[in-house]
Amino acid sequence: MRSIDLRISFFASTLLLLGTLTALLMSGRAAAEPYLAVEAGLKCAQCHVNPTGGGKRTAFGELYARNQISAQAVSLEPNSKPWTGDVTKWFATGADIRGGYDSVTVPNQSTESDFALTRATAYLDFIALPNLLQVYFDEKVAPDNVENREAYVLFTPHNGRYVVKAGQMFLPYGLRLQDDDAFVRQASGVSFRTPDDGIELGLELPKWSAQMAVTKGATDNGSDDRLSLSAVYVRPRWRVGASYNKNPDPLGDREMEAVFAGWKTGPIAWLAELDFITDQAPTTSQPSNQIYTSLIEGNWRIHKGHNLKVTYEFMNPFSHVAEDEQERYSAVWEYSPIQFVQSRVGIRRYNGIPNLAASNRNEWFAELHVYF
Amino acid sequence: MEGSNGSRRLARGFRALTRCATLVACAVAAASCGSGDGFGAGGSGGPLTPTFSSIQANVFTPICVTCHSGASAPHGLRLDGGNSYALLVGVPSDEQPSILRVKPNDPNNSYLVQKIQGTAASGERMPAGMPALPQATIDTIRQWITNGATNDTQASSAAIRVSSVSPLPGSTVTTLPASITVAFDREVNATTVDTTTFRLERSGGEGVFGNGNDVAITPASVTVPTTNTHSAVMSLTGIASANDTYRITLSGSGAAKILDLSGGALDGEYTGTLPSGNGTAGGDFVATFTVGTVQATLQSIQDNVFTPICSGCHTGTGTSLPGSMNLSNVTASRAALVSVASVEQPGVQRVAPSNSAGSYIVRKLQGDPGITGSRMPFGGQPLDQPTINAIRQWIDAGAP
Repeated sequence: MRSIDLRISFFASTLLLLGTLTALLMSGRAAAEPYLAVEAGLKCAQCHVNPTGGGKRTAFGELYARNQISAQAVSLEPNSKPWTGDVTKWFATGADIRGGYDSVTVPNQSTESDFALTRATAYLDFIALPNLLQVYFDEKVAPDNVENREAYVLFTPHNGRYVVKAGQMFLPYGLRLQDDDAFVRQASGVSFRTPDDGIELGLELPKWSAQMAVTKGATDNGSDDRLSLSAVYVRPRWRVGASYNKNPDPLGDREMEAVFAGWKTGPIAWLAELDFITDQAPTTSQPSNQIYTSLIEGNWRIHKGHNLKVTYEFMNPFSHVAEDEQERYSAVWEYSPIQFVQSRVGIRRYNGIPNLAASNRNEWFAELHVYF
Repeated sequence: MEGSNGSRRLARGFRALTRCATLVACAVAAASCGSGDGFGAGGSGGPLTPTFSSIQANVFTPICVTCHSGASAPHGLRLDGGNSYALLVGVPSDEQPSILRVKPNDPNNSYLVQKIQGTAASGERMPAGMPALPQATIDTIRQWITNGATNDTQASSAAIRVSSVSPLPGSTVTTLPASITVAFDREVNATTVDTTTFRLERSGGEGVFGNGNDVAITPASVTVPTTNTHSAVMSLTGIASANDTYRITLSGSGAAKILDLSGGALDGEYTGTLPSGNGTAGGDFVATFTVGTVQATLQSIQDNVFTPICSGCHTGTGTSLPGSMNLSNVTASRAALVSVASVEQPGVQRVAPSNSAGSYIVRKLQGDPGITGSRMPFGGQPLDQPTINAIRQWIDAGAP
């Protein structure tokens, strides 16, 4: 019994030390899916049609969700083949539907609560040449009007070693977190809200995944094209990556650098990202601005089907302004009773400047996520 | 066997608690970075009013700029102070090009209003990921558009200037004030006002700057009050008062300088009149004030200098100096000094109104070269510089 206690004590101390050091070095934020890749020791391309992650799941991704993430796998019919998204050899589909209840409390204001369909997206994957050429669509179908999020031709020669993507796409930059409101996503402007038009070249090696995208940028104002570079080195228990983004603009260029990592300690999958963003002013008489954001997130697979996600985020939005830093704390419990269904219950605490009440709000939410 | 199972359950439970504690501990440790106290944030620009500058300071800058900034701003819409007006008013929406983002006099057909009300045909309600703006805020923005959506930050094409300073430049005060307040002729970019661009020094006792013994004052704070974003306040709480000449500097040139909301630099040159400036953006504002016992009035000078120090010799008795000059009271001193030719140097007035440099009393008190006889006070300690400055200021004010 004493040896068990000692092992536990050593284990806990090591975790605490690693976590604390990482937190102090990186600071950070919460809520994302890349932890699943870290947990499995796989690259994004393993589970998603989009090699940089997000959107429609591959057949492997569907099976992983069924067999590894869910508490219980159910069959659609007795002895039927599990759902993989493949409708025919030439067409595959999928969807993500999220909705639920959220409650927001802003200091000195009444609490506002709401039931809402957050987002429903449908994925259409037309396979012209299996494992070589496909046309992919990611469409937001609700709420409100239909919006095209991604639409591109995907060319994957040499058995997927090379990737060519042309059309409208999400840019490769940092961790592709599901939570667009995470500080690193808000500040970088690279999120599921902001696709861009252009071309992306990718390289998928056994231990490496790298992308270079040239896109038109946020506005078609005659400025030079936007350049995005990202690379990640993936090992079974850890990964480390870096991203760079240069966005020329007549009103002032933006340059962004990010370093990110993921690693496992026992049943906990960690994510961390640190971003440096520089917004140049259009003239030298005006100061440039640096933005610093970071995130650290721990995902504890408590039991099959259950995940506890705790996140800390930090942002300094104006480098030349004193005492304007913001923080966000999140704790989210994710429960996947069966494949296709995930429930999420979470709380978030914003800690911002006192003269802006909304930056000090508290939120709690319950979300139902249906996917296939 | 049962005991073994119990131990395993206990160990599992303890392990679970440990993991949970680890996650929490990491979050708490990370929290040591801390959020800002808003001290220097341009997060609030005073009460929200239907003016562009107020909406910028209270809504766009603190709420929207997190996403809508830089070259990656969604739909190219930058909402920082330097760009927002030009990208909003009269500009077609990127999501719905048939609708202007802000259509002056028509809030219902302004896409900005539709987005913050959640009635736009495209995309989600703004601000994304945050609570909806309070209805009062939306109403104020609507009112600004109804009023024509003018840009009050560009009411003048001239550069931002200093319109007043407290304490007054050139004045003498008896003790160091608790704060120095500077007013500008328009809203200042709060992010550019700090201890680098708003500075205070004292001369080191002799009233001369730049000779190696200047003393930089570290203020308790430098802020742009949220209740008046046309001003800046340097708090001197906790700073010991010393009788000396103090110099206020507001940077309008160099790498760090004070800017208005449009990014224009301070037109700060000061030559004795306010507002400051020479009509061209860029240039430091430099002005001095004095802390001393003596005020720049004849009564104060009489009470603190002439009566206690000078009137022992300058009694008004006899026909030759020092007795012939009567400095025993205000009336006598005025009669003996103001516009009266010096006996020692008849070509120079003892006090030449509005001309301290040409007043013989100043030259005698300073011990300037070329004076006849001895420096005053005869046989005593020279007056300190703040006291001399006060006498000079009284003379320069016309010797009233």
